Amino acid sequence: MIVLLLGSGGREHALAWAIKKSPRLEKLYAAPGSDAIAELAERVPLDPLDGKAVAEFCAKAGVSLVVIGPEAPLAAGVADVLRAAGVSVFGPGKAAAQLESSKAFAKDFMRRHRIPTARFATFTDAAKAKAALPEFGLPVVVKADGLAAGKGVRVCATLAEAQTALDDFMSRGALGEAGRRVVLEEALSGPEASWLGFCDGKNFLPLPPSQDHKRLKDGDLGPNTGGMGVFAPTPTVTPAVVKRIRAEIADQVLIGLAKDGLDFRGLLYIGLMLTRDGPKVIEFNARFGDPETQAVLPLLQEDVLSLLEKTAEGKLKSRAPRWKGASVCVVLASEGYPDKPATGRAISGLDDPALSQALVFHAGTKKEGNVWKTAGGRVLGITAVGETLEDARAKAYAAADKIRFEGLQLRRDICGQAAAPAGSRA
Amino acid sequence: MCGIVGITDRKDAAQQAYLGLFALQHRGQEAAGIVAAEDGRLNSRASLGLVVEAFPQDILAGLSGDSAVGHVRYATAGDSNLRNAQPLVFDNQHGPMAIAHNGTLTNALTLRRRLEKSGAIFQSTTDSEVIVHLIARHPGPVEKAVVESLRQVEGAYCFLFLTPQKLIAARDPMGFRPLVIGRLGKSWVLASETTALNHLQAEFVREVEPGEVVVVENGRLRSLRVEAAPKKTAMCVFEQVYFARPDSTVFGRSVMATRQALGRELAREMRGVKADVVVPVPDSGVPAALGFSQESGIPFELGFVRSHYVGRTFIQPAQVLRDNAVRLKLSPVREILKGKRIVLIDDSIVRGTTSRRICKLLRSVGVREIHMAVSSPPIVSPCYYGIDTPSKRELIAANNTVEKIRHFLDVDSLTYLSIDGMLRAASAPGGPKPGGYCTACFTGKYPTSIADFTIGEAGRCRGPVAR
Repeated sequence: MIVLLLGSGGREHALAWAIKKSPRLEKLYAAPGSDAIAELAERVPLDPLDGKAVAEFCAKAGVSLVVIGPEAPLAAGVADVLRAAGVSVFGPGKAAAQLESSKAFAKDFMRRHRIPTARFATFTDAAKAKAALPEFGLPVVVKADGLAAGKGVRVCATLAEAQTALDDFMSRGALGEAGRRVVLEEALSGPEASWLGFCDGKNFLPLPPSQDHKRLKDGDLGPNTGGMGVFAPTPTVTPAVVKRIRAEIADQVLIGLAKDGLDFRGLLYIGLMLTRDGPKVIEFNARFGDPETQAVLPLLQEDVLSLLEKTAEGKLKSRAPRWKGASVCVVLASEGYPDKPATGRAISGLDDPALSQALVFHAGTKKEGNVWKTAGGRVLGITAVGETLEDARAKAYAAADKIRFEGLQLRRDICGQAAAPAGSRA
Repeated sequence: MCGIVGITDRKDAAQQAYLGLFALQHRGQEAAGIVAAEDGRLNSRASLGLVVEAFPQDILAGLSGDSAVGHVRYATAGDSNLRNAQPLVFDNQHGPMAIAHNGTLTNALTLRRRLEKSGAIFQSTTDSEVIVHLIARHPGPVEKAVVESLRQVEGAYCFLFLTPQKLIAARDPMGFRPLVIGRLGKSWVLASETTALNHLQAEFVREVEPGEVVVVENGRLRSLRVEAAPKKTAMCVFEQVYFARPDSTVFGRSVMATRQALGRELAREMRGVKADVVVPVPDSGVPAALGFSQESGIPFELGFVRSHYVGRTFIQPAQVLRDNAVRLKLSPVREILKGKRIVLIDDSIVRGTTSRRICKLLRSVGVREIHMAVSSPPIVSPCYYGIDTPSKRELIAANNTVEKIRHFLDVDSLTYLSIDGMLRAASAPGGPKPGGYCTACFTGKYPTSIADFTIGEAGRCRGPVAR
């Protein structure tokens, strides 16, 4: 099979690594890819947002499956263009991708189909949003409707903070168009978990539940980031909880997709809060999480390429996947991340023999001559798999400690307490 | 001190208010009152006594209306008459209105004198009546008159105002007293403590913020502000230490969690104490004693059995028996206490007389050593913000050293919790911060002017204007 992977980050590096393991793979292309992905795939100079150009390349190169990594091409409808051209695609079309790209759409979807989530209301008028604010509990979550690269969510402890957030998003246009429409939402509290699964619109095949660490610094302090590390499986999601999530959330999503006539063939990411009143949905994503993918894929004892293909063709089975062990992924980030990451710093230690115990996924690197240099906010994801979480954690940090670059930031407490710390977030 | 509750949009509003008051009974036992709004008029009933005594079923059933406010009033010496019972009901340019108040206005006397000079006639001796006169002098709409009036008062307050159309709630800008918002179906509930929401099976929404005025009208809740910018808060730490019910969450912190943490802090400060058992003075000392036991490893024992039937209705047969009143309420368990070295935990010592009697009782059943441990610092100053601590003259810690108090109580050692330890226990990440509390009763540092209280008799706890 000839496969084209769209994207260039750590998530795509992990996908390329997993696809590459398949005996059924004939050739792997990546667009635009990265210097690290180039070691596993042939890079093609294509813009992933240009559906027409991607479709033309597929016809020319005989590509039978396109795997879309990031959210932007999904939101732009690239999957629709490709399907119209007769190419099999892993990734939902524009309509179904709204589960991620529009918070208001996702909330309405959940309300329509009685999927447990935080109480919410959508506003396009700042004055009306402010007038409704007092009826919400505190803290209250103010969310910009559109994609805002992690800056569109503010958890406000007081009415004054929430009013400022509304002013910033809606009146001052701090996020541009993304903030013109705003969702006000009750803040939930409890441990968080991410549940990723292959979804072909009718079936859901879940991966091991994982837990993300959003804050930059140890002890869940510092600013929000794209994610500083993940571990899986998270012990807070017990088999009993899995059963509830399956029945109350995943199955309801499938019914909702069918009722609304939404074609979702891709990865469904369910962000959860395990509240006192049971699991509730914080958000959906329509693609693999980053860095959850780096932690979860290495646990799978299945041919990932077959799962991607079956999903794309709508031939998935609703079953538990085969996986074993535990994994921890620690993210190494640049100095200044997440505000102003410094780039171009030489990375050393990548050839240390201790790294054979781990998987090194490149998120933001560049190769200059024979030297790897930093080229983004999140630079590397170091994943280790072990029998237990403690085992995986020890290996991941042993490997991470071999790697050096100027200004390196990492959290020391990924999977610090395997019993997930209670967080409070949207 | 008082407790207040309000509810909107329920056919059985008065019954719900009754339930809420029942949950808040600990905040005041002197009098109880409920006012319900029905078709443009207010039906009211107030009576001396406990909630269950004040509201027989037939009376309650007669209080029809689809919104209501209720009030329980704390016993204060000298002015326990029905005229001072709340909610106060009056007519003015805004129509009929009821008002329920928790707290004390520190400039009430100044305002009252000024109002009287301009012709106002006062009905009660409560400071709450001042606000009535202020509201009557401001043009409508009524919520605007309320906000304007509140801008003139100082001190501690949580108010509920009920008109036939609106329920208005207000909390002072420093947030001395707690006030929470709850939701029960389509109804809005406002109450002093979250335990009242639990009793009504209402869902907690949030606190009324310091300096916020909320208006419920036509099923919608709006927010106004007394002061534009939030002030530094002065939330009453004594609510956490003693006053609030332990099943409430007050200022965003579970009261039970605070009280157990107070015990743990105390155990840390008393490290090395040699004792066989930890014994609480029931009921208020129990959570701290549990925390003390967990931290120190000294076993927890219930050394007293408390009678629940010695209420306010109990008539003292004779003056001679007064000393025995403690014995009637608390009965020591000889088998647990005899020959033991005990850590005796109480939440606070006010006059010291009750503690002294308790210790005497313990000696009488053969306790070998009493190490008295108090889960709050010495109370050295009266409260002008709503707690009925007595005057400075009567506060034992205001006039004596710890060693003198130890001698008076006749115990082997006496330890008070430090102020820092108390504030640590009352704080939580994401909840109240140590600096956000008022500690005036323990430090004498008052967060507002108290000029009105020094006009009267020096050292009196209450100003000439009583609660």
